[in-house]
Amino acid sequence: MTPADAATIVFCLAGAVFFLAGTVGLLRFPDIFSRLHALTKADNLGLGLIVIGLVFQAESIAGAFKLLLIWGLALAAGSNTCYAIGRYALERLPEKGPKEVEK
Amino acid sequence: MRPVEIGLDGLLCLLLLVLAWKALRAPHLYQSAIYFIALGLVMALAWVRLAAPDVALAEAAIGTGLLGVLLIDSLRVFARDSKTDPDAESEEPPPGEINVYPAGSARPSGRTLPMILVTASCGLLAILLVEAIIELPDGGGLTAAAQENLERSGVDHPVTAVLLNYRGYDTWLEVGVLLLAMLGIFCAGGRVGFAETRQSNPPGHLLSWLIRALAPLMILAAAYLLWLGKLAPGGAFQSGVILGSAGILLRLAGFQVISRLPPLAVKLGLLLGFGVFLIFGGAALLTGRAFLEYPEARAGELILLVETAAAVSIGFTIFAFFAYLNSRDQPEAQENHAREEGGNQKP
Amino acid sequence: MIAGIETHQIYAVTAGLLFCMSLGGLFLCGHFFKKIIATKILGTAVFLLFISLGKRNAMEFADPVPQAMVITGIVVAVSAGAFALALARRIWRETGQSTFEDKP
Repeated sequence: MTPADAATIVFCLAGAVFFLAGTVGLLRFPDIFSRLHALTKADNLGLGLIVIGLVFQAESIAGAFKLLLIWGLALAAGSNTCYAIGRYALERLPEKGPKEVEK
Repeated sequence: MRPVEIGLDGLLCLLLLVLAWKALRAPHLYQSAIYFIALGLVMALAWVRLAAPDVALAEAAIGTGLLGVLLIDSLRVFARDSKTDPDAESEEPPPGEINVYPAGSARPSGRTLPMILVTASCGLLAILLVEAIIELPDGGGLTAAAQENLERSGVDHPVTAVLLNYRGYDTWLEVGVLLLAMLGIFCAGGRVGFAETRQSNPPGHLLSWLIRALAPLMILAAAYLLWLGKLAPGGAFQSGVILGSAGILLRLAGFQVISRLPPLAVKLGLLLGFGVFLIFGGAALLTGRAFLEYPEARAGELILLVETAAAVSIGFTIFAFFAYLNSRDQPEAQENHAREEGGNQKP
Repeated sequence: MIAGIETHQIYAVTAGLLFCMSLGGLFLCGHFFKKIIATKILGTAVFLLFISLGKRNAMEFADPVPQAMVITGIVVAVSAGAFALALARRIWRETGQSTFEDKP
């Protein structure tokens, strides 16, 4: 096993841990905002770590750049989705309690 | 095959079955739609496991992305009570109503016999099908034949070669099906033209900034995929879908794309793919070759041209699906007519 | 025995089960919306069977012919789905009905 392979395994495992924690949080947290919090951690850090892990396996600089670009796009899209859901939920807060807004 | 792989495939298949069951049995239509979208994404993983990345791209983008958007958009309509006054119809229904719309109530009670019959026959069919699938012999297939002629097809990716050279007919007629579906939707909607949607809650600055930044990037990605289709997974369909979703995103962010275009351009965009195929097919017939047969020397360039036209047309059509269905359903024909005369012409 | 199972066999059997499940759903679900979803799953099951059979003797890449046909099929299925949704919405708008049952 080369050092690159070892780095890939370590980073991907770390990313998987974040995804697992995010999923558990999504299932277990009580309301929409803490769920969003859990979800974005999984998206940002989990995906980031997995991308870093995969960069070590990339065949070329261009390939590595494309992987990082995917991460950047997912970050932008993820934070916007989170923002949109949060804003939507917040607008409904006065009429309903935070618990009802979930889902 | 290693046990790990069997475990992964088994898990994916189990997930597919559970998600399909949930999508069909969920009490609310909204949940049904979400389960269906999740099913599509897991299905994309299954395509990758089956070494079919082209299909995975198409499934994730068209099968799940586009249809998911259309399904959720339709919920907005179904959640609306038909008895409310027309003025209320222009408003978005409160979000709670989408969630509480019961689908289970649609099934009439006291119909146990048909239910038992359907369940039993589907169960029997399942046993027979699985038995037949296991008994299927190995071998066969056209991989070798497709690879053999790859050099003569003008492209280096077998799937693109099949789509645009060996089986050009299929792709041509498929673009035709898209066009037909669009015409059918026009008929079903009872109006022509893409009325502007009044956004009940306009998107925030962040979203509109993101979409403004993403739209050029998406067009670039579409062009890249189109070009890549020659050598690797990608091609007209995936690229068309990215174009279409760029349009959908722009519309969701409040940019009125399609209603700004002159009606003639809209029609041309819808017709482009079908027309270019037809022109090339006709030209091939006139020069004494078979319909849609490309001259070997220039096959690569011609295929790229046809693909570009098909991609633009596919993108335009799926965007038009959404734009048309998303625009406000107006029961009043008069208002409709007045709107069209102001903005869009009747073809 | 487990070692003898191939990837395509697992997916082909799943496709068969999915097909029957969604066929039952097509009959038993009342609402148009669910019928459309059931039809879509039905189509996907057929695509899955097709591709997994194309994988039977392929080395690293599945048979390109079924792949191309399934890509075509996905686009056609989506157009049909969009058309079905448009029809269902028109029926709902005109009559307030969302099923094939007569109104009580």
